[in-house]
Amino acid sequence: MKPLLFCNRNCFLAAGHPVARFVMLLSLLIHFACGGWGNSFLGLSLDFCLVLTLLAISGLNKKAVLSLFLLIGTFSFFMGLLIWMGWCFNLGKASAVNWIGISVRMGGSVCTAVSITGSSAPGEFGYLLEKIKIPGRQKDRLLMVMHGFTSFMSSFIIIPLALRAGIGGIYSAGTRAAVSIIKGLPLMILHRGIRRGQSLSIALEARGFSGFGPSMFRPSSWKIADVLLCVVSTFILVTGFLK
Amino acid sequence: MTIDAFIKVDKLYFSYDGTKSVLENITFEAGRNERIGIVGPSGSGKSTLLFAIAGLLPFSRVKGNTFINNEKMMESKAARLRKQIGLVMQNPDDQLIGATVQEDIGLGLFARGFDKNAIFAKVKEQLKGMRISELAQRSPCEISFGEKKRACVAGILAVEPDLLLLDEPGEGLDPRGKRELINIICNNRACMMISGHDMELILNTTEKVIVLDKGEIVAFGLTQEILADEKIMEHHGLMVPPSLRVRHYEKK
Repeated sequence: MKPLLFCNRNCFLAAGHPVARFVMLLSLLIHFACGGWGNSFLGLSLDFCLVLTLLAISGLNKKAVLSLFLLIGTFSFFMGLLIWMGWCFNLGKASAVNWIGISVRMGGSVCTAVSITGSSAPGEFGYLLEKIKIPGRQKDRLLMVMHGFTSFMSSFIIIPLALRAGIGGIYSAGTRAAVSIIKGLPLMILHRGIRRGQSLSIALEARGFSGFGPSMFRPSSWKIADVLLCVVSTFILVTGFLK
Repeated sequence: MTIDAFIKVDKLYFSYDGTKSVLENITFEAGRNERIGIVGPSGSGKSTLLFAIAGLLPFSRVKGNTFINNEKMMESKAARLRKQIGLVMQNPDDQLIGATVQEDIGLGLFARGFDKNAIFAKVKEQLKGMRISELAQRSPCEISFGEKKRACVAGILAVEPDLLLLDEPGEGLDPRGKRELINIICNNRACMMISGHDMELILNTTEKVIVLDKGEIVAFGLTQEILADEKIMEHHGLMVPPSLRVRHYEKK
């Protein structure tokens, strides 16, 4: 049986089945349509998609899931270090303790962003859960419903597909296929890192660290990282869908 | 500008996208030890106003002037002026950046050049004051929302700012936490601006209040009078605090 998940190597977000691709494409289109909300909306949805994709491409193989998370964790950690080094350069003063501490936290943020259960570090998931209890905040309710809907639909389709395909995760697909599939992940992680980096830079400015030009505070608005991610994701998904 | 005014905001406009104004023609003054509340429905521009005062909005999109202690908030001075300001953000996850609660509380002090011993002493004092000593070594990711909020307040109070901006400080706090916060606010001599939907907290902590709606100031005056005005409050999607309502019925 042809492994459904690997029939299109370029489609890193979705399984190879056309229905799965269609659902993922639809989810992303919904995200784009509501993109004005920026900050947590696209990021969180993609976190969900990413986790589901990880589960799907690993064929629910525990060892494979752990390996992937380790890979992401390592990548995030070093990216956190790089971003923080940039801050140090700009801020002109920062202790090694803070340098390491915040880098670890940034790396941790990105790791936990993709692990759903521990997503309190970037805050979005827990934040939305807190907010949904407050009546009258239609935006947050809507966000939650849409996240719930898209992730439910994704899991409803992708995970059974992965199971039905009877594959053993990326290990059984061979190294080349595995590399091909996970190569898109750093893009998402980079996006999350940039976002987290921006919010942390505002926090740093507000706490009295400063010295790097105009404020980066842009709540609820599209950023270049979003646009780039949307364009690239749409291209990949559309080409995958048309094949 | 009056002699004692610590903050002066003069015809402030701000727009994120250059078309729709989030803040429009905001003008007010606050004295050195004055505490001003900002109330208004969701999306009325309360948080944005606090960020504008703190100089955290892109200066190219801000029109009008903000003066802090007689100095105009501008890009070249923002970093220095911000050291006089303490901002408690609405969402603690946006504010907490230290690897541990203790480290986070000390960050502001570190940025202001305090030495290690002074930082430790002040951090310890704030941990005790906010009843979070047992959380000192915990990661901010592991603590509850209310505890995060306390850690945020502790981090800002530690630097003893001249101007304290509190964005929905009572949100997520239990009743005891709120009472303690009210005490802390009332015992602090800094100029303060407190935004939020918790009318009781605003009533108990501020002398004057600004009502914002759609980015404009629709009322500005004594807190007791404005918050008791049912017409203003209901027209702008707010509610008269229960304690004022009770007093009103008792008078009747």
